Amino acid sequence: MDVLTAMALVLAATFVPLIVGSSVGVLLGGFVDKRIMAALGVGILAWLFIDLMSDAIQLDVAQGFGGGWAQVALVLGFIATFVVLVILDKGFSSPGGLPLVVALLAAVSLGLHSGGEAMDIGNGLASTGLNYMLGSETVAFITHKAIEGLMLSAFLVAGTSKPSLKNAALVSGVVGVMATVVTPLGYFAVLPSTYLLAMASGANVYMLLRLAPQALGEDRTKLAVAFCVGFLLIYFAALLHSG
Amino acid sequence: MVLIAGLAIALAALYQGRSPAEVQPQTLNFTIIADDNGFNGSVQHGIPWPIITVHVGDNVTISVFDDGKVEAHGFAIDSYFPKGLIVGPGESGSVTFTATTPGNYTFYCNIFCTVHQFMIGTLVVEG
Repeated sequence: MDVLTAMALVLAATFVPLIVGSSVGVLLGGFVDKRIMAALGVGILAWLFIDLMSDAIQLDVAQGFGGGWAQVALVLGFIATFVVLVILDKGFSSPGGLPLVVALLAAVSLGLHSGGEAMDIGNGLASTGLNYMLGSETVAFITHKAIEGLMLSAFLVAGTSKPSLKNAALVSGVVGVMATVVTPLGYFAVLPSTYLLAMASGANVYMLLRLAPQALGEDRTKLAVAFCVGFLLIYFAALLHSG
Repeated sequence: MVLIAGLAIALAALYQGRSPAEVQPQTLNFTIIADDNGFNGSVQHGIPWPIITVHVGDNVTISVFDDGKVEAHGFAIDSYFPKGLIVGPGESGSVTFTATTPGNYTFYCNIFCTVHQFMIGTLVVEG
């Protein structure tokens, strides 16, 4: 399989479920309280952080003080990504609204995550061919991408601008393009995906901190249930992945 | 004479067909190669693979080497090593334990890599 075909497959497997998930989330936002949607998103992000940290080899903590430059790069990638996102987000210090730019920064954050996955997929396609994507793994991947789309929609629904399907397409497109352009890094085995996933872990913390204040309110029971539903939804996709 | 014969029968029953070499605990080393082909080629072979057989009392070391260039992989064993370890591309890790309880134990990748479903093997501990 050539690299362009691999990139097209990654784009399809990433963008299509993302836009479906984010569109469903935006439509759902018309009926459900935005704090509930935010709590749902926070639940999804909580699981994603656990997943990402494993893929980033837990920032090489098992190496103790002997991890060398690779360990330094992983930790710096985590920290620097978080700090840069906070700096770019001029409204980070106020728990008020979520303008569209924050949803776009969340999309960039998820793009780093999807980019790491795209590198892994690109590497697998290069070595194994199309058979690599014909198993139940692909079903699990597409399911978890759709749930990530639902999480992204929480930034739109809980945001200050009117949530729209156009914006759902915009944030999904950002993620899809980022995943597609880094696929060759994995296809040609240029470098491990762990570095990008360490950056994605830092970005995930940014998303959590930005969305969590929107999930606070007096109806604590409903918010707690929404959090658990979000967490279990993405956990279910992980179960599909495990087979 | 009857006493000697009885003693011989009792000793034979104790060993129950096990050779002297099997009675002595051994130090055993195994290597798992983790990459796009699963654990030691389990993608092509089919799971569970590999199958590692040891005896109760054996001191077992399993080394895991990530032979891929891009993706991290994990390794955990039910009951014996549930915490697991994670190795990045080109890295290796190992776990050492004493086999104490007979049975079949699954070992698997404990992170969500892209060949996750094929990274399932069996540790057989014989009594």
